[in-house]
Amino acid sequence: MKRGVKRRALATVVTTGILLSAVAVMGSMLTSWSNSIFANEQHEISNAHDEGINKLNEFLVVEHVWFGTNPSKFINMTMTNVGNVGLNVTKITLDNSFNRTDLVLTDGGIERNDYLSKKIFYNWTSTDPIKISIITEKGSLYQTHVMGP
Amino acid sequence: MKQRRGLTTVVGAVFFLIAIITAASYLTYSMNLFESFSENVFAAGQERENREKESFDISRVIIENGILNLDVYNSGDIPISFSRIWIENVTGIDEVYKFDLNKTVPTGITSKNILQNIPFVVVDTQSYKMKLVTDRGLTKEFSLNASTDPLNLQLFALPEAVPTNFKATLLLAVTNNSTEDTIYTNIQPVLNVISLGANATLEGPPPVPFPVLEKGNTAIFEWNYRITGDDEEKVRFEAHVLNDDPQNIVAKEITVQIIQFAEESGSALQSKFLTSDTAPDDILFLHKETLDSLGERQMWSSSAENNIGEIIDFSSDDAIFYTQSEANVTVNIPSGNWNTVFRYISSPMPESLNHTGASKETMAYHFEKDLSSPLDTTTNTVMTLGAGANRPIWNPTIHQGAGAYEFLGNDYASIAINDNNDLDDSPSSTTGWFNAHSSGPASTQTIFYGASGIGGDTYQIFLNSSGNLVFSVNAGNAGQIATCTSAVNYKDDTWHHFVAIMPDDNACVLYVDGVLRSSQNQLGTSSIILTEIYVGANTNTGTNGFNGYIDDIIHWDNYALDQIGEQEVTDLYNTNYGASAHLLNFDIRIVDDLGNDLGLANKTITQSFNIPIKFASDFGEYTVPTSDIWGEFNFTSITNETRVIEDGQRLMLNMTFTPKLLGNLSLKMIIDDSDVVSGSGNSYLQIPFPDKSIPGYASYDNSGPGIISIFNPGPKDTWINYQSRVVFTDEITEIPYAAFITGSNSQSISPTQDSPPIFKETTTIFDFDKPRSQPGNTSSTLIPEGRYRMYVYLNGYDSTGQIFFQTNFVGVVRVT
Repeated sequence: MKRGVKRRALATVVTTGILLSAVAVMGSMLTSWSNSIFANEQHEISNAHDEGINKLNEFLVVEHVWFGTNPSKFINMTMTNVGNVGLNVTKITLDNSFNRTDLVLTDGGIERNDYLSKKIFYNWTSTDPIKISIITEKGSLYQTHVMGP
Repeated sequence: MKQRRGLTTVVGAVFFLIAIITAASYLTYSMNLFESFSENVFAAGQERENREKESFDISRVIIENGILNLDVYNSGDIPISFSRIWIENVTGIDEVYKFDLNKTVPTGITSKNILQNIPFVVVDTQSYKMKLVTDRGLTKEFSLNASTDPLNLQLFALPEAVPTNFKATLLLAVTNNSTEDTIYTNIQPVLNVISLGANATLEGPPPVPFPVLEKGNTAIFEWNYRITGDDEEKVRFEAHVLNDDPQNIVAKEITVQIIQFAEESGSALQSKFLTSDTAPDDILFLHKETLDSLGERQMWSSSAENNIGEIIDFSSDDAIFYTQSEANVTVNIPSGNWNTVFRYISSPMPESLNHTGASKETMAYHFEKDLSSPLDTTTNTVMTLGAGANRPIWNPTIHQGAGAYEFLGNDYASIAINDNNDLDDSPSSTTGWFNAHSSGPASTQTIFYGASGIGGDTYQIFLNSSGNLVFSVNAGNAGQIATCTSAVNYKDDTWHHFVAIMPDDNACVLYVDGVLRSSQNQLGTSSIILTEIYVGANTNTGTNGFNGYIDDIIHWDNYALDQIGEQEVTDLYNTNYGASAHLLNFDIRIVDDLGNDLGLANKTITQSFNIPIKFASDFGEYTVPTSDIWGEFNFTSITNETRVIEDGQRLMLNMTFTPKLLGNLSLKMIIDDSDVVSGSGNSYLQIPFPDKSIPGYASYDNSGPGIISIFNPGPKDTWINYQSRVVFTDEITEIPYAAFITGSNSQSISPTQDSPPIFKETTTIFDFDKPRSQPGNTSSTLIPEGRYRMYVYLNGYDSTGQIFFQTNFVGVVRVT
């Protein structure tokens, strides 16, 4: 009878240890997994937030456009950053429906309250309106129409 | 078992706590992000809202000495900061300039000359496109000196056919029909005159440039030309806008159209009660006759009878006119404009200064017109403006709504010397108005300068380097120079009145704006005899030139203004030689046969008090008032419903003068004078066109022969023959009656005998038969009583054997 009592006690300890270990392992795995999920979500939300805020604060205006002919026809345009953050112009497109020019910029950074002038050779006419599209690094799109003199 | 359950519970609780904390952290983080996002959205929205609140207008753009002056009005709800201006010379392409401004304009404020400091020279003959940019990105584009886009031009000639030596008005309408929102500024019209036989002479100043023309708006420019030439000759006017598209030209031709009958005959007709000239039913001329007009003067559709007329002095007389009343006649006058047009001259001086003899003013320049030799209305002296770069610039409205000259440092006017301005002996007085530019130099600026070629005598009024007004009397004795100084800086862009009096030799008294500022008496008797006078500088090269406006220079060569006794300085200071020189009351209404007010609102056309009347030339006060010296004023009142002159009622025009307590200038009105030909001619009341002629004062009694007068203005003597006749046409039924002109002064006219000669510039009275349905047939129907339109047909020849024939409408005549 005595021996029987001793075996039951050992089994109980072992069983308890196994159970606790199992619970601890599962709990740790679950905690680790959920933390990982939460961290990823936080990162994504943070990126989305920053991107949204930056886009919201970006504001670009085409301040002046003038047309030249020397040595060949060109358009000189000045853009001003009147938003609250700096921005980076990555592409300017000129399109009068039969003549399209894409200018990809690597030096299109404009500080807040600063401006950027670009001279683009383009065969403008006095009769066809030209759509000017400006795309920033954050994906904001600004458009305006101008007409040659 | 109890121990295992407890342990498991602890482990579970730990994990639960971890889960809760993690979730709470995530939630808090999310909330913070959301709050940050909301703040940014709000801030961005605010920025956008501010941009929408920004608004400004271009108030004025002018070029002064090549400097661009731009006035901007902040019409938005928030202050605006202008960051840049772009200037593109569109005359020479590929030239674009950019200037940083950093100019902030508060809400509701006009900021002046915001471009004054930019290093850019503008040329009048070139066109510019400009764009003003704010720091929030708002831009406004405008064009200076026209643009490359054609403007919409319309030219009107009013009228397109005129008798020789009559005036025509050219109106150029310039409309900004830009498809973009471009604003055109400094629009300068150009009118070229091309003679096609006839000639045109500009009268009055050319129109000034139009400052700002917004999209959809129209600017009107007006020229008045006197047209001379022979019949059917023409003059062509071609108008365009300076620097506009050179192909964008509009043109009109004005044709000289001789009044054929008058030209052929060289004579005009005039009846005892009637006039020869056509007067339409809506023009009621003001006549001097008082017969049947309640002791006042007549008013009816009949123009002036001759060149004698009458002058009504408002200081002692009111101008009241009545139309005739007539039983069983009702005249309906539709709604519309009632224009009172009257011709007048202004008194030269306010009441206290209405002197005669030696105390009367001897020189007066009001600069009402831009003339190279401005008019001295006293006719005593001759002023000549400097030429070319030394010529002052006339501004038609700058002083009290009337003209003045602007002197820009090297401009001057010289006045020839004679007994009326040479000073000679004391006393003398010189007065005037000046407005010194605050930007003027810190050096002597001459307003009035008189000097003697002998002995260095001077008599001068000037601003010193501190802007103080100085009156100096220097008779050549160093110890006796009288100098009066008003120690106020008058370089303040404001009008000031000066009165400089030399009461005795070597003495001066200076009043500014009616206040005694300084006086000095050096005693001694050293007279000054001037040999030269300049205004605006002290030489004919513009030395010590004035920078500002000068007006109303008046001089008394033998009189010192009396302020202590007569308050003459105060009176003159308060005198308005501009747009509000006089105040008149206009009362136009329908009254009963005796002139009593009917007390009905629908019988009143207008009752207007203290209407300001512009100072007109006082020239006529010093010379014989002839044509073209009379000022013209139009007072318009509008009725929105029909006015009915019923059986036995009259139309009354009553003009009365409101005297001013100080600076009271009277005026005189001319009526019934055929020599007053400028503009529309005489004084009259124009009413909305009535359904029938308002009863006039001409009448004919059919119980006997009638009489008419014929006036021959020359240049040749004339005769009329037996075919001449009078014709009456019933106003309603149009049934005609006629009668021969039978003779004059017992000399009958027959197929074998013409009339006695009508010598040039004389009037002859003629008889005519009773008008009948068949002229000459005494058994045909006699003209019955009623209202008729009367015409006179004249047939004859002149002293060179040239035949003439003419038909004249006399007007509506009552046959009794």
